[in-house]
Amino acid sequence: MTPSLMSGPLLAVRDLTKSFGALSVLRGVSLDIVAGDVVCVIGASGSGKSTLLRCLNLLESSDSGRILFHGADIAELGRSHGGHAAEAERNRLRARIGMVFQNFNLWPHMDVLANVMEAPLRVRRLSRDEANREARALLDKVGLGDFAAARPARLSGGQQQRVAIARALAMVPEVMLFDEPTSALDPELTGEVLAVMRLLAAEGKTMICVTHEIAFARAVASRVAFIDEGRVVEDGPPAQVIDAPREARTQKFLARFT
Amino acid sequence: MRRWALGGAFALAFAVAASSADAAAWAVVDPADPRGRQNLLFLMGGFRLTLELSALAVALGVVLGLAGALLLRSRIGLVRAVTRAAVELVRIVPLFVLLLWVYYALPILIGGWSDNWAGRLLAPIADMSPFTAATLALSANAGAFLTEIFRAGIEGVPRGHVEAARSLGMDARVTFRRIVLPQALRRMLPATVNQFVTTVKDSSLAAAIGLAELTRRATELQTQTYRPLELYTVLALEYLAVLLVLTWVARLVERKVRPE
Repeated sequence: MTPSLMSGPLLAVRDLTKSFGALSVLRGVSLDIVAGDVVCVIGASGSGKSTLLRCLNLLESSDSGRILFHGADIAELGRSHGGHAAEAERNRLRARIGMVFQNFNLWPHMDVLANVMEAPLRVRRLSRDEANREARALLDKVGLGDFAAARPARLSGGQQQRVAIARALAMVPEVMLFDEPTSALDPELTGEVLAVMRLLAAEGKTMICVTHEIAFARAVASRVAFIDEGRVVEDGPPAQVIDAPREARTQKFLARFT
Repeated sequence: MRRWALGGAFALAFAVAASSADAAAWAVVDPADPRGRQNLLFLMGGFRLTLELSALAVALGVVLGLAGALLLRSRIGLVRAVTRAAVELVRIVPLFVLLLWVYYALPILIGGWSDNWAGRLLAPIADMSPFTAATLALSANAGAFLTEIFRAGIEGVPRGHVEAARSLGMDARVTFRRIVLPQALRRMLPATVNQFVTTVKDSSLAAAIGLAELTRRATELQTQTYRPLELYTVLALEYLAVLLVLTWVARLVERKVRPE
């Protein structure tokens, strides 16, 4: 990648729209993510936050608008079937954009270590030794080095989500997408997951995080984007969006958290 | 459970033997009696065709079922519709009727096509043996039911597991092979074993088109000896033996692949 591209945003979303049948979920979302940004996306349920993330790594195809990744539009790639070449390109892109899901989605037929090793083995084509070494290092990083041989079903929700984070990190993605990573957890288990995310943020990982954890957003986010009815209503540093929102809708939404 | 079934079956057999008015009649299948030994060997000679037919039908049925399940998930609507129609047709027609149709009717149909490509392609089965006909009918039947079992197994794998794999850059094929199939296989194993058991039992229908498998041999011997009680009791025990082995193996496999 050339320096001129690096100076621009890593991801730039422009007027992105998406409907499911008659239901219009995204109605022209625009958002810039610079390398090293930690962007927390907040908003009510059904406001389109999750759909936005799913469009970004092409799990969902958008209807119109652009998604510029290193300056190149990938939204069109998500829309066309485009045969084998396009499919291969989509797979390569997804590998560079990590995703952590609300429901962890660990593979129950593999142990924790195998969950983390699978994609590096099949996609990055690492040797078993390399994949093993990296996976163990990542499990240590998320505090689960002792659980390598455990089946996911034996772990608590918080532990499962930390494995899921390690699994996504194993592809060395340029940006990590978190889709309400703590929403399925008991309140006492959210802390351990947020701690791992704080660690990643401190390391300078580029992250987009859909969350209802306003305290986390305030402490960790470099920017907060408030989405309502399929549009970004307000976007700025947490001190502004959370503590001094300008828009009435943002104020109304945040009032529920204080 | 299995031990109980086994014990029950033998208790029943002995009860039947002991209570029959004419105890000497059991000589017809008594291994100590020269005539009885010969009859037993004749009856048990049917194991080979029963096992060959069942194994072939199960193997082809698995191939058809897997193909059917994948075709039902095709992106092309016409492919799905044609597959769905074929599966429903085979499931609705009674297996016995299907068997008769394949053996007696299909050759006539193919004969009528002798001058076109379909006739030439199918010429080798225009004059088919009972074994071929039974294999075709039984594997089509097993394939149709296994299609449903496999489809349900594949669709039972949570969508999120697939999305997690795709989000890591794994392509559709790797995702199916590494994430979907291993989980689906576990889910479908019990129902699949059931279908195998059914197929072994249903292979007895081939007796009606003259295949000298277990049931046919018992029937033939019965018409010569007029000993239905003794011969059909032995026949039932023969199927019991086959299916006990099959379910025992299935249990071992199931235990091996069972998720924690």
